[in-house]
Amino acid sequence: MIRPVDPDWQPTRFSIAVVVVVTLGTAWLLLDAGGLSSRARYSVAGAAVLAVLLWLLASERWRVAGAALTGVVLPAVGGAVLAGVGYTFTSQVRRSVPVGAVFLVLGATVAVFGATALVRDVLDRETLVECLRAGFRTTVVVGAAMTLAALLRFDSVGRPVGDPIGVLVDPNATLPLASFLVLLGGALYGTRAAIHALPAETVLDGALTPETRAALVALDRALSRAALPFGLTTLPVVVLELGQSNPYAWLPAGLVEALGVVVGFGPLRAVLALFTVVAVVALALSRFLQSTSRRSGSETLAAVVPYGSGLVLSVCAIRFHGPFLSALTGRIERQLPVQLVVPFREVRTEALSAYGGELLALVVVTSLLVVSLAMVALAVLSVTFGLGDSPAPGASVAAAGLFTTAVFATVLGVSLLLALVGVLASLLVWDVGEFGGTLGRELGSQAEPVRTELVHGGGTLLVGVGAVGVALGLDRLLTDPGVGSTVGVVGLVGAVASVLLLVVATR
Amino acid sequence: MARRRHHRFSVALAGALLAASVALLYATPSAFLLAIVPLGYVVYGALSSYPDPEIEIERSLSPRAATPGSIVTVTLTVRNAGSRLLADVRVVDGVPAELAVVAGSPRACLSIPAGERRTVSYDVLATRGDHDFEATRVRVRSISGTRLRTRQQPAAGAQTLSCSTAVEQAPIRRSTRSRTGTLATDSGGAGLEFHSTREYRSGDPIRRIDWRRFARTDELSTIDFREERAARLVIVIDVRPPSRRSPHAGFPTGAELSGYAAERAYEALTAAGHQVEITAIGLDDVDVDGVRTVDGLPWIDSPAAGGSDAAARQLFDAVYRASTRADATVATDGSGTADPETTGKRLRSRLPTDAEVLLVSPLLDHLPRALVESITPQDVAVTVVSPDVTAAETVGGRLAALQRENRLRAIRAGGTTVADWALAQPLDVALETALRLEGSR
Repeated sequence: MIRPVDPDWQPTRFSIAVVVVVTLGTAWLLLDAGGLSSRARYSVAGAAVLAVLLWLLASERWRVAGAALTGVVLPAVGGAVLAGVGYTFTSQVRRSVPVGAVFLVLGATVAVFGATALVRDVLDRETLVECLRAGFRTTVVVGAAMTLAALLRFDSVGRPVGDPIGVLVDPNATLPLASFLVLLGGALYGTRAAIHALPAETVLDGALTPETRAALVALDRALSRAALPFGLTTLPVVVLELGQSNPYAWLPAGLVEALGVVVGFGPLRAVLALFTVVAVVALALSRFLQSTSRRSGSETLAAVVPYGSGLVLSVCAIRFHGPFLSALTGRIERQLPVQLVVPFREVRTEALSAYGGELLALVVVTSLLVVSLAMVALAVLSVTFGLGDSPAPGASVAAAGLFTTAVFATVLGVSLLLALVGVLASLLVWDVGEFGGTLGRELGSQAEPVRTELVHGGGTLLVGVGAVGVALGLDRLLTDPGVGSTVGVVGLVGAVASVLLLVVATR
Repeated sequence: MARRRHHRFSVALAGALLAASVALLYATPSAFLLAIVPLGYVVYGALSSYPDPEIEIERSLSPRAATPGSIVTVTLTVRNAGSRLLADVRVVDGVPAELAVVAGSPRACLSIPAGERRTVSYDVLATRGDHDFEATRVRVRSISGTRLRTRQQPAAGAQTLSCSTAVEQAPIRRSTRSRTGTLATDSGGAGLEFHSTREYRSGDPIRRIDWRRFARTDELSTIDFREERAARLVIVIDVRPPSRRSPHAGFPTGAELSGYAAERAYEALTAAGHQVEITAIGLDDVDVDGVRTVDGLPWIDSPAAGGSDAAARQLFDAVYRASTRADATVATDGSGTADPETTGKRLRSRLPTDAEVLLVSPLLDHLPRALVESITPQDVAVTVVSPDVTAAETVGGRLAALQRENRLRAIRAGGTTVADWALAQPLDVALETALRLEGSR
């Protein structure tokens, strides 16, 4: 059960406003000064969209819509972040932007994500896990569609397959043992699992004689015991058949022929396949009904719609694979150096002819979903192991991103004053956000503590302005022609280290 | 007073280290200068001192005494009696657990200059009984937020919210016992208020002869005054699980308000000299432990017939216990609730022939109406007092309100007086309105 956003105990409105305005303004100033605003716009937009998605998921009212949109929007988020951060990274590797630029873009992206998430205070474990769960469900469907598309296009050794179902029930091989074992295992263990899941015990109560019951229990126990040996037998057989064109040449021809008659008997394989399918459907239905009976209508819907989103995404990827791949490769081409454009086109043409547009589109969508899920998983880990105790996790994330941006902006040669303002802004964002979060948690939204927040924020701003003044004064002192640069830097490093050690020692 | 240091700016140390590391890794001396800003905050936090608050708190209630379901405004005045500004004072008033806050907040964050005061107001919903406020929790922080003190400080002024008043208007339509009392009746006879004149009959008291008329017409006539008699009344309280519902969380339930109305009516009627008997429907065995029961119904006779105020109090307490108990559940099809026929039979068998019935019920299901319809054919006068606990905010609430309205109409159509008690108005106003309407019919 996800926690709905409770506006009564959120951080205060004043703190949210300060965090959002200061973060967005400072991040834009730093990116613009570093010449990276155009590169960062995609990743920043993606981060904001991801945060809005979390708003929806955390809201009781929009939760189902959020769950439905998660799967559809996550590939776009992953693509946007890759377009911003990944492109800056490749540019940095190619030396077309200064070293450290990627951290600046990454920091700004993280800062915008944190600030946007703070608006509804949705950076908590429950909401992120809900996002991860919805995204995973969509990925399962898209991944399954991708696998099916791959199976339809290739057999085990890379040759095109005309009719996979026909191959399954009427194989051409002399001894199709692997597929037979898979079918047998599917039918046996699928049926067993379905019987366990269905209320068979209740339905048949009284209809079974004790002898029949004992026989069924014994059969069930035998199947349970045979599961491991069966699996250990099937796996090598599958590997053997996948790896060799004539895997059973070492067996006597008579045995191969006799076995082949049994395992290649079409009607038997069709019955096994039917049992497998019926068992899987019954099992899925049973599990679905069991889980939905314990949930409310909206919870059930929120759990189911991601699968629908996956289906829609798969259909769209297959239906519009042409325009999608053209737009994607066209954009990549435009970013590539001229000398790489021709090789890239060759690779694209080869991939399209070998894999087909549908499969490629599905691979791209699945990959983008996986990238997005990795980002959300990272956020879950951060919240679980660090940010969870913060009264305003969004403000902490925004401050961390902004601080990183400001520090790396100096590496890119941005003016010291602007970088100092960036550092001051990041600390202000953290302090005001954390203070507002504590106020929200302790007093609720009706306490109207703006006056207190103004006094506190004013104090913090004054201290920051004083520190910026000291830093600028030191900079002027160090750049004085009378002071040797080496002496100045050594002195400054020594001073910073001394203060750090002093502070650590006092604790 | 508990003191605590909050290492808020530890995170700034990490920032300073990051800046120094980047400066070394990327050979950028200016990044060292960036570390000065977070270090400034570390120093700011370390130099911050503990606040030394001198705070005076006073609480006032308006009104000081209230009826169940009414709104009471609590005002907390916080004064900085020290000589320094208190930048961050957080107060949380000790609201009794039984009282729900319906407007405002008992929590506040204040900045109070030396010698000045700030007020915090919030509204609570009164429930029956005396409710003691707990001490106010006060937390004072330094401006940097790195030093804080917390303490529990009892507030001066009002400490208890008392919730009980008596009704002045007794909900009785006619007298039912030929015993002199305070209730004016529609029958003429001995009394104080003029009722009518009639032809003199042998044996009429001489002091009631209308001598003025005799002087004018030379005919003897007798003056009848409005008779004042003691009423005999049975109060029936509906405490069944369907009545134990409230419009919002924290509000009294319908059963609780029925108990309250019955208790107030009992006090008013007994004070006026009437004979009042009490019973309740819907009480479990655990609730009526120690209360006299007759034919499965708890029954308290009037003091004249052997009952007592103490026994009545015992029954009212049982009613309150049951009406606030949360373990009672109701089947959605209405099964499991009391059968109106059986309950009606039991009541009829116990009702004195000359008694009037006062049924107090929120009318949240069909049984009270069926009960009224089963009693009225016996020529027993029935008055219904019904607290309205339906809420119109939801579709379900509106439907329940509509159903209740229909029941009220049906009961009125049967000739029964109904006092529809909206919680926003005092009980005696509702009774007065109902009785005035009855009188005008």
